[in-house]
Formats: sequence, structure tokens, C-alpha cells
Amino acid sequence: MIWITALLTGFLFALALWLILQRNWLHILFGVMILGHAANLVILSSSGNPNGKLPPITDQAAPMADPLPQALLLTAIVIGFAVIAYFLTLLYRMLSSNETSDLDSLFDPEKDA
Amino acid sequence: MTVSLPVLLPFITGILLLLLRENRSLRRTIAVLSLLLQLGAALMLAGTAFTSGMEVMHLGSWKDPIGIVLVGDRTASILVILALLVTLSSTLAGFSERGSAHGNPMRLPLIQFLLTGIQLSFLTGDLFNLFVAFEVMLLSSYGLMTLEAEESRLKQAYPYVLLNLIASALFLAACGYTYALFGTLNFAGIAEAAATLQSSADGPARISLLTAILAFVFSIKAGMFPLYYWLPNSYPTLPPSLGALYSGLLTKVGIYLLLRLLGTVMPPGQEGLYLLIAWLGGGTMLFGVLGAVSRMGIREILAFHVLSQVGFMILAIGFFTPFAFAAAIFYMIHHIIVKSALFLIASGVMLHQHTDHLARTGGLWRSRPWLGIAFLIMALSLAGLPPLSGFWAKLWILLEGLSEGYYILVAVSLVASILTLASMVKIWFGAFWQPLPAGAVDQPAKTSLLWTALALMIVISLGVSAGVQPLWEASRAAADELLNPSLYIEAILHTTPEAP
Repeated sequence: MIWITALLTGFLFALALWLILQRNWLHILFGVMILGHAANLVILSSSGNPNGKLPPITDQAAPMADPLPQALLLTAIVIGFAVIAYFLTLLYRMLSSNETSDLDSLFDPEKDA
Repeated sequence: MTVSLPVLLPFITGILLLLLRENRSLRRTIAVLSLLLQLGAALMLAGTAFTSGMEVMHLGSWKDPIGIVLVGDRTASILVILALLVTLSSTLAGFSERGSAHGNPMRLPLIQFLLTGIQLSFLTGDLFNLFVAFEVMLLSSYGLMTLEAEESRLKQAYPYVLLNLIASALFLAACGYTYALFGTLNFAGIAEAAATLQSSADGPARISLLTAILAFVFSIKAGMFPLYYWLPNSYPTLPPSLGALYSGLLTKVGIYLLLRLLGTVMPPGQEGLYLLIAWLGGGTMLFGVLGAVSRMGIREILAFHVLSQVGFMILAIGFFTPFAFAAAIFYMIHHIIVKSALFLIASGVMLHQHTDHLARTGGLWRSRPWLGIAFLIMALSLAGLPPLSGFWAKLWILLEGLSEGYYILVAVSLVASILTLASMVKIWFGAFWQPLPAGAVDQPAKTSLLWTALALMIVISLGVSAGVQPLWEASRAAADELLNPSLYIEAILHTTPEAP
């Protein structure tokens, strides 16, 4: 179980970094979003194998899934949402004022000179 | 209780300033008065930390491992005070800035929220809370960076934002690994569990890996080589007075956390990692100063110098002795003040001549001699000439390097110092000594508030130079406390919190 999660997070991190390194702004945006999800999955998996454990809302004697990573995860999701909202605004203003959708041409040193 | 004030007060002030959008002079008064109040609270905190030990506050009286603690120890309280001094002078200088006559109403609240994040990352004793503090700090800093930026410079914020997003994701993942490994996110809890794990068979490898990931995240914040590209290009995007705030403080959060992580939280003895950090510090120093030599804008040069100075502090952390840690703390005291003052001087040059490009400035020594004198004092202190504070800061780090046998790194840092002096001479010649180039302007400007801020920084900097002895002893005491995890664990985990 933990191996599947580990492989999945590794895949997500790799995919996210690959997307961020593209030129197109949409790829970069999706890359950043997937990066956040990959990190969130690591946090969730730190509570261990959930098989047979009850959700933390019950007060039965049966073993309960660790609620702390879930609380951390909620916080991280909310923060990630705000950051994505900011990032999208920045991309929009940056690209619309330069009338391009290609990040590579935006940072072309010959144009700056 | 005092330990929560440096975090709560700027937060409340920020909300208040958001509500009062209309009345400009009232807003300014509130912002300055609140900073003075916070300074009072911070001095009280430092008083407690240095006389009767660190002050611990369990938020909501929750106990470890669920609760979050705020810890005001010596190192943290020194940095809390410095953060307030720099914010105060940057806020004051911002009032006299050109174009801010109708200044953006979001600037003052965002400065307060930025300060909230910075102070929380100095004071928190919990890894996930540190993540939240980082995000508060970063979101405010993204906002301030793009708020008043020209359209053409806006793209320079992009590498800053993107690299910090990646660092945040990595930090979040590291929080997950930490919790899985130790079952707690409390610094003291981690320190205790890590000391136990260190003696098990595969413990040291796991701990080293985790320490390396966290150190990597913090060194991105500090602007360490090779991930420093974002810093020198993004800082000139800022309004000049805010450049003082950013260059003084944001990278030092990374340095402080490296000190805290390696000194207190993680067990000692990770020699390979320390050596790597020392060499990366040397690289940061050299590449930072080479960048500074190649640039022509005053603020760009100063931003590259931030890197070169950060390299010195990282080098000291890499030496990993109590003496070197004390030197790093003293270097931070010196650097935060001097670097902010230099950015304020750049802000003065921009007020009079409307640019900071060295080919289009000049003649300031004749027209504004006081600005020239201020620059001379600060630049020589930065380059490390005796008897100014920068000399002692560098001397101690180099002495420790020699006694530990890092001869190549000491040589690198001497080269960096000489090049620092060279690029300071370049600014001196370009902005102050050469006659005003044809077509350049030199106009009178309202600079009374800028000078108030600058005078504050200069007086403090000269005070640091004059009071080297007591400040060095304070740094030694702070470093001893930082490197003594048992003290930290004892104060946080094994002392019952007072009933609220």
C-alpha cells in the first residue's frame, strides 16, 4: 500500500516539475497545481495505512485513523488555493501586458537589451 | 504572554489599516505608533529571554504533540527586534517616496501582514506552523512586489513566486515525512525523538535525508547558491523603500531557520551536510559578489551583495561550532541594519535623480554631501573596514575558518570582501563622485521622513560598531542556547504551562 502511494507521489512530483518547465502558461499553471496535490498526498500518507480504521468522528473503541494529518491537509489545501489564485492573476497580468502566451519569449535576454 | 505580542499586534494593525482606507494621515500615524508599541513588546521579550530564560506559550493550552508553541528565546528575540527596526525605517522612508502621494492603500496593511509572517517564523516552535508563517510572509511579499511594479518589470516577480511555490511544496512534503518519522511536528518533540532515533541502526540515514530536505527549503529562502537567481532580479522591482525591508529581512528568515534546524532540532554530527553547506556558502559568496561587479543599477548591485553576505552567514553555519554560530548571529545583527540603510540611500538617490542606473546618476557628493557621508559609512561597514561592525563580523568568521582549517574557503571570502569594496567604489564613483551626466536630473525632493529613517539606521549601525563587546557577548549567549537542545526540550515539553 505504502509503495503504491510512494510511486504515485513520485510520479506526481515528476509530472509537476516537467509541466513547470514547459513554455506554455497553461502547462505551468497545471504543473503548480499538481505540485501542491503531490505534497498534500505525502502529508496524507504520513498517517499510515488506513485499512480497517474508523474515521475520527466516531467514539467507538475501534482504532481510529490519525486525524492530525487530515487537519494539516485541510490547512494546506486552503493556503494552496490562495496561492494558485495569486499565481493565476500574476500570469494573466504578466502575459497580457506583453501580449504573449510563451514564457520563453518573455524572458528572452536579447529583447531586454 | 509577551511572546505572542510581536505576532498578534501587526496582525491586528494590518486588519485595522485595511478597514481605514480613506484617512491617509490617520493610517500613517496608526502604522508608526503600532510599530513603536511592537518594539516595546519585543524589548520586553528580549529582556525576559536574556535574564530568566526562554519564554514559552502553549497556544490554547494544548499540549504536545497536538498543540502549537511559541518560543521566545535569545536568538529569536534579537531578530524580532531587528525586524521591527527595519520595518519602522522602511515604513517611514516609504512616506517620502515619489509617486506615493496617493500611495497604494494596500501597501501599509501588507507590510504589517508581512511582518506578522516574519515574526511568527522567528517565534514558532512547530514545523507546520512554520509552514503557515512562511505562506503568510510569502503571500504578503508577492502582493507587495507586484502591487506598485511597472508593467514591464512585472515578469521579474515570476521567478520569485515560482521558486517559492516549489520550495513550499517541498516543505509541505518534508512536514509529512517528519510527522511519519517522529509522530510530532513540535521542534522540541522532534529534537527528543531524533536523539533517540539517531542511535538506532538506520536512524542516522533517515535523519540526514530529512535534514537535507529541510535545509534545502530554508536555503532557497536564504538565497543560497545555486538557487539564487530569483533574488537579485526581483528586488529592484520593489519600491526602493521596500527593498530595504526585503533585503534586510526575508533572506535572514532562511538563515535563522538553518541555525535553528541544525543547531537545536536535528542531532549534531552530520559532518557531510555541514561541509556541503560551508562550500555552498562559499559559492554563494563568490557568485553573489561577481554578479554585483557586473551590474550597473545601485539596487541591483546591493541585491547581489545580499547574496554575498548571506554566503558569509551560511559559511559560518557550515563550520558548526558555537563560536561560528555566534559569529553568524552577530553578522545578522550587522547585516540587517547596514543593508537596509544602503537601500534607503539608494531610495534617496532615486528621489533626487529619478533613476539608480550608475550611467545616469552623478554629482551627489557636491549637491547632497550628507547622503554621500551616509553612504561612505555604510559601504565601508559592508566591505568590512575597521572599526565598523562589518569588520568584526567578518573577522570572527574568518578566524573560526582558519582555526578549523578551511583555508580555501577563507581565501574565497577574502576575495569576496575585496570585490565588495570594489563594487562599493563603483557606486561611489557613479553616483557621488563623477559629475552629473548630460541629460540627467538632480531635483530637490521632500526627504525629511526618509532622513528620519536613515538617521535611525545609521545611529543604530554606529551603535552596533561602538557596542561590539556587549553585542558579541549577547550573540555568544544566544548561540550557546541555540546549540543546547536539552534546554529547549526542557522548557517546552517538561514544564507545565501556567493556567491562563
